Amino acid sequence: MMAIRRPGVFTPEQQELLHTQLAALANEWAQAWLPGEVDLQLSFNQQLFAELAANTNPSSRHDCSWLLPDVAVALDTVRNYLCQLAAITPVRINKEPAKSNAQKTSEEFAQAMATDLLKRFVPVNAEERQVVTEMRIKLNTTQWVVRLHDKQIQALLPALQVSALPALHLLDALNEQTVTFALTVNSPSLPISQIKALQPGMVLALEQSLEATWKLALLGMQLEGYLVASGEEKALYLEQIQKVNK
Amino acid sequence: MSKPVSAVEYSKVDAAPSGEPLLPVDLGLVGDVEVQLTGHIGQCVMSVATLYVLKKGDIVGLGADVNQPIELSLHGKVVARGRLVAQDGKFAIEVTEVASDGRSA
Repeated sequence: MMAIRRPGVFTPEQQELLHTQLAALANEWAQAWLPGEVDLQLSFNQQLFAELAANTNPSSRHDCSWLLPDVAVALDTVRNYLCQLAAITPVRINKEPAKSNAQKTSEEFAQAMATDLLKRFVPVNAEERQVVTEMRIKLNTTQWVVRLHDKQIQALLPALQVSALPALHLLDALNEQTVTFALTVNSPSLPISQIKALQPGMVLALEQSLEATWKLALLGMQLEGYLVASGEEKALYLEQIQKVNK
Repeated sequence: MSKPVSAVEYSKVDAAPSGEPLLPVDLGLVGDVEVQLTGHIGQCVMSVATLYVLKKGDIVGLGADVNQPIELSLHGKVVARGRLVAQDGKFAIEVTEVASDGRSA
């Protein structure tokens, strides 16, 4: 299946809405995992059908490490935080071949947080990958980077708000609308000279049989029936109403 | 062998009409042109609400008295009036009034 690219850009209103929603998520997360100050920065893709450039260089993200394809975290700060909680001495994670308990715990903790965070967004297939928003979250002293795809962002945005006209009102309005059906008949084709020579008393024969129904045409539909007199008024004795092609 | 060809250049001139019209207003010149007259028998105006409750056998008035003449028009201009009659099992229009001097009837 071919990869698809959506427009991938958002209006200022949408960006503001997304900021509100993602900040609420970060706050919720902070309360559950790392109580303290929350700082959220969002970057949005600005180019149609493009995506935010993939930057997997950890140094550009304050020593973040990629735990998942789209989630990076500064493991050092997680470890420091956990060590503070456990009152144990922090150890450098990346420099030592053998992992300490603090290392393992911090990695597991960070992994659990990343997994929890990703569960909050809809999954993205390989052909749907289009990073359009990057969240940089600072919880207490811990740095996180979460890259979100267009599909995930779209799921956060409310459906396009269309104030639907209540069907009842529409019917009411239509009921008051009037339509006009004209009953006409065409003469046979006549030379202009013959029309010019018309005199009272002359008879123009029509193709309309006495037994045939007449059709009152309107764009899209027609009434069909027999021509009669209703009292002193010409009228149509209705046989059927048909929808016709324009 | 194809013969050589040369491009055609059109003269550019501005319109400068003068004198009498080349064609006198004489319907005899277009007398053989065939046209159709439209007879307006009547019409009904109704609301959509009424339209939706119509049933077979309903009588739909056409807003015209049975004795009211039918207008025969050409491109919206009334050129004659008449009344609906029967002839040889078919409807026909008996002319009762005609336009004169190109004016509407």
